[in-house]
Amino acid sequence: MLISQNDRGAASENAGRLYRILWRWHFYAGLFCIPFIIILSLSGATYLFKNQIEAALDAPYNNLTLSGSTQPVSVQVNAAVQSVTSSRLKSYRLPQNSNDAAQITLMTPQKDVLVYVRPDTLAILKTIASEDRFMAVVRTIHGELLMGDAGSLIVELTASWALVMVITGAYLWWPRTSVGLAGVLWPRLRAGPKVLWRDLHAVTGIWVSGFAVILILSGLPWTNVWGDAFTAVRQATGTASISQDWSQSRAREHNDMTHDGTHQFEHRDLIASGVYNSSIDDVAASGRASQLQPPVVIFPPSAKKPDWRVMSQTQNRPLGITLTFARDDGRLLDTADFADKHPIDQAVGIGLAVHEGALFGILNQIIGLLTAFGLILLSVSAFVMWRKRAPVGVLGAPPSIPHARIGFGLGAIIIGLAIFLPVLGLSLVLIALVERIILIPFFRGARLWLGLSPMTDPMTGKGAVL
Amino acid sequence: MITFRLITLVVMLAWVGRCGAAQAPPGIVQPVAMAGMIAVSEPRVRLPANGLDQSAAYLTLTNQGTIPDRLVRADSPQARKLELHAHIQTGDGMLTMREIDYIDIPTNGSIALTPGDLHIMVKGIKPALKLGETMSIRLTFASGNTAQFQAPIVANPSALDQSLRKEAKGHQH
Repeated sequence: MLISQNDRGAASENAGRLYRILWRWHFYAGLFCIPFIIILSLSGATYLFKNQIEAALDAPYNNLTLSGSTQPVSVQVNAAVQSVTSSRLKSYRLPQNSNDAAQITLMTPQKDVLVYVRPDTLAILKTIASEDRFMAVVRTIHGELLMGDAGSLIVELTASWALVMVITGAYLWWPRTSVGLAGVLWPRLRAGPKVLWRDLHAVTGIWVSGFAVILILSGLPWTNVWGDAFTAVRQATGTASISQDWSQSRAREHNDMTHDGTHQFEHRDLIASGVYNSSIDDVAASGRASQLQPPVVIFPPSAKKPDWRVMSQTQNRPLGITLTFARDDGRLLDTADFADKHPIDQAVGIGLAVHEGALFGILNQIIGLLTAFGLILLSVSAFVMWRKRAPVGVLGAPPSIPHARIGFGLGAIIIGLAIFLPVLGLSLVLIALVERIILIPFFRGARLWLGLSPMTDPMTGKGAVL
Repeated sequence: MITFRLITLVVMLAWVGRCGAAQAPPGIVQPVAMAGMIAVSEPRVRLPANGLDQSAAYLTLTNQGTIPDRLVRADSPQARKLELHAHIQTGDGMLTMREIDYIDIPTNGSIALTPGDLHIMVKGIKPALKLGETMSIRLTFASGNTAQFQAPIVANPSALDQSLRKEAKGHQH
């Protein structure tokens, strides 16, 4: 992988140059990643406990003392629709217990609205825009930093560069001069603050890195650039799923439901009186009897999907099932479960469940939480080390050393990563362009402050920034 | 090696956690009657069309115990005869109705009588029923238990749908 030299001195010099190259990349990537990794870790750690947090937030609307019998679902839906102007039913969530308020999602021209309805008196207990729910906001922070597509791009860049940080970090961590495992697998607590912060960073890094890589890879299907490229590759190779069942942005989630125009019901009446036609009351009864994993949500017929659907929206995707009932006579048309999915979709589904901490119960949540804590500790320790070590007047990057080269092996790895993570490749190209076209000819002071190499040898390509 | 054992431990715990990761499904609506351990919930009788004295009744039966049971009979003082019916899909995709002798209720499970599947055929309704009224129904099970309750008369979906599809002002169907 390194330049092949038979001279042992030259080989160790090359190893030193490679270490310095990777260390400088680790530093610069870290400057970008740290704030966003902290945001992603905090929001992600919160989202891990979505079920528990939402149960607590919904506690005032559950386990009610009912003062009469439960009204039919259709009557509850009607009460909700009447309470919000210009609304119609988007979905009805089956209450977990018979004395819980019904959670009914309505569509309005602007946004989706969630209404809590008492099942006995039909009183409206709470009305809130779906996107304003606490966990929806947390999710929007995590997925797009509350900044739409631009935010989603930053998140994807962070994930991609974080992968670079794991790889370079693992190389930096590899024990070379250590005696025993102190400072390798556990931190040296009594060797002074400089060693302690370095060890906290390196040791946390190696323990967390495997789980961090799982988080990064399992989260990629949610991104816009990688996610779209993934879909395109699957379509080109004939391995596409029929329909994607994970969403990539709030905008797309909304678009899927707004094309619902006027319904033109054509009743294939077996008997003209309609006694054999299905209403939401019947679909709800079927949904309850099917004993699916909660949350179980009923979708009425729409322009895009003309039949009733009862969908288990469990985060534990391998347990997810969707039942389809005929629009008119309500007979069961289809049962779609995890085993019916394309193997690639199954793999993505398992990855998403692990990422959300929902595949194997509380242990999944705890591992996710510890990983998030580890990533925050990595970020904080990195920042502390940077501030302690940075000389006055410059950024504080590890100084470049002369004749630093990217060898063939490293170059191949870089190109491979750039292809696998398109935003990584694009950002590398952008950095190279900015450096060569803007920073090298102009802004010498900025180059010195940034710690870029003073060498401007055009033969080394990206060598100047190593 | 420590790491190998740690990974094995995590995988084993994950597998155990996986088995327990399933949550309780949404529960049934409050029962209107019990026959032993069988709960009857969400009963409804469809409004017969003008001039007809027949209709269909739907409900959900939940066996909250561990002994299997089956619905074998239904009757009402407000109708001449109640029969158990099933919709059977024939080879060419058509649905036909057929009377059946019983409906099994799975232990620790529910069976929903709904359109397109199972229902109680109500024949000879007298006097005529109106929306908002109720029909008294008694169910008899193989175990000998019975359940008696009032089933509300509900509209058929073509009328209900209008209110469910309340759209933007000025946009009428």
